Amino acid sequence: MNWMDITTKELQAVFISRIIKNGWYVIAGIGAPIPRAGIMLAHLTQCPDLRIIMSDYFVEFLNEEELRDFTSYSDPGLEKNAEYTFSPELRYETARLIDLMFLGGIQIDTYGNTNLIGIGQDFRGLKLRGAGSIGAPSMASLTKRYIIFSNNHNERTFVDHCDFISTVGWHKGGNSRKQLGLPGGGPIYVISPLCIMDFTEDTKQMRLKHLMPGVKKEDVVKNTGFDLIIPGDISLIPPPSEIEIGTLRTRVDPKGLLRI
Amino acid sequence: MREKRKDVSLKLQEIEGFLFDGMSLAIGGYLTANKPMALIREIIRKGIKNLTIISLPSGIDVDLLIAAGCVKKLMCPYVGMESLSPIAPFFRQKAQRGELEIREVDVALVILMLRAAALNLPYLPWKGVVGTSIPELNSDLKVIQDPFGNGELIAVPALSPDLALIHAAQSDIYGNVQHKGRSFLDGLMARASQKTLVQVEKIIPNEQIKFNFLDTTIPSALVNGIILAPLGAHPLSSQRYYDVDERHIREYVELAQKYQRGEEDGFKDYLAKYVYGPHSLEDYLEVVGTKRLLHIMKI
Repeated sequence: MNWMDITTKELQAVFISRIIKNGWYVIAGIGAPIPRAGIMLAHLTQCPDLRIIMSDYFVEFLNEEELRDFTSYSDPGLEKNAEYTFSPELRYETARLIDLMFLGGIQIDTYGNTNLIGIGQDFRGLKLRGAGSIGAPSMASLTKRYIIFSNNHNERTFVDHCDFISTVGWHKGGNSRKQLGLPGGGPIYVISPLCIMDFTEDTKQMRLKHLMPGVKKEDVVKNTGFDLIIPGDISLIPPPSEIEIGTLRTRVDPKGLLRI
Repeated sequence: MREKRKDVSLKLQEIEGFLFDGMSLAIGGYLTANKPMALIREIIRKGIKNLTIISLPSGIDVDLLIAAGCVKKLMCPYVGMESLSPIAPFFRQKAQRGELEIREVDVALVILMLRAAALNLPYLPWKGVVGTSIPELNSDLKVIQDPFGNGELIAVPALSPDLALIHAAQSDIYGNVQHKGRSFLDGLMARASQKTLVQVEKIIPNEQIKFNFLDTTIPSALVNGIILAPLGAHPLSSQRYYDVDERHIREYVELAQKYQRGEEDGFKDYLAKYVYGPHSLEDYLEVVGTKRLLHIMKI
């Protein structure tokens, strides 16, 4: 195994797959190919009993030799692996069972609060109107935990304060999320192209955990618009095993979409 | 004399009596599936303005209404074309200019507004968006205290749309509607709205409904009009019938983006060609063309 041969996207998927435990309920979003690859990799390597929700379907892929890519909610191929489907109403009635979901943000702040609404100070004159937050605000307040996944890492995305908050992370830090009384568990990791971050146990500020290969600590600090907590020792993500990378490349991502 | 049961089937051109300026419309389906596009184009042609739109995640359906200047107020948790245009072009432009009155919502809030209306309750409580900016960005919502002492809750007020527009697989002439595949929020929209119009791929005999009555998703009691509209969800998908016409959506997005950069002709032609020109569904389908239609039907 040549370590240098692994792409950031592949490593992100491997990291995600290792978090997931057998028997969990997870949501694999259509518009999030890397988290979905991580979920599928976990499913095919160490989580045969994973319950996966994709679009509005409960799906199972264990015997698929090669998984295909999904880009649309209406993809007719989803039904091929579906065992159950539910209405949008029932999504919220099973949300408390969900062990892990993913969401993104056009802004993410130091406490993991995220913004899918828009950028600007005036709501009726936004600089950028976001597409809307779909189900994320309520879903992420109910699920046991979630991961924030960002396709970029710069000062425009990682900001000191979100202009608007569509999903509450650790709110204002400390035990402020708990005081809001939200039933869900909150964000556990933030994954970006530069690094993996988690949150400090007491203040709930975002903290650097792993750097992606070739990325320096300074790169992350420079591209983050708030004071990221930098611990003394920053470990690398343990390299993928032959089984992990083999399964990822031959079955989960046979077209190499994570290698582009 | 024995009375005859009321036939509620209508032609697309005959829906005028259900429409008025300033009305609220619930649009069924989800994102790219089962959107009542034939009805939406008819509403644009009829020049109905100042609409309040309530829907689940949407794309070209809501963006087209915005582009045509029909929308005043919007309660929609997403308006975009997935990877083809993550933010719908006219939604983005008019929202940024402050020309839309947006009531920020997520999927759960839309469900609760309609469910409260269907249950004839003034509001339903919800924990979901506590702590977010959404209660500040949606003046319909109120923060209340849980009477049982569990902190803040959001009171989500009932909203009963004047009319629900739905696309489904089939119905009889009395309005017993059957979906094939998922029915999304369509049933709740019909239960919550004052009136409901359903466009269907096929009209079937009442005997067939009775033979498979377990498949009925919306009963005639909730349906005021049935419009025969084969391929009427085009350019979006209709479950078990046809897929999304991706090329059409791409063309729409490109022309819309050009329009916003000042090259207005292409999008004006699009509206003339697909919306204002064809006054019947048959004419519309002829403009789309047999090859495209066979392609999305996988024939």
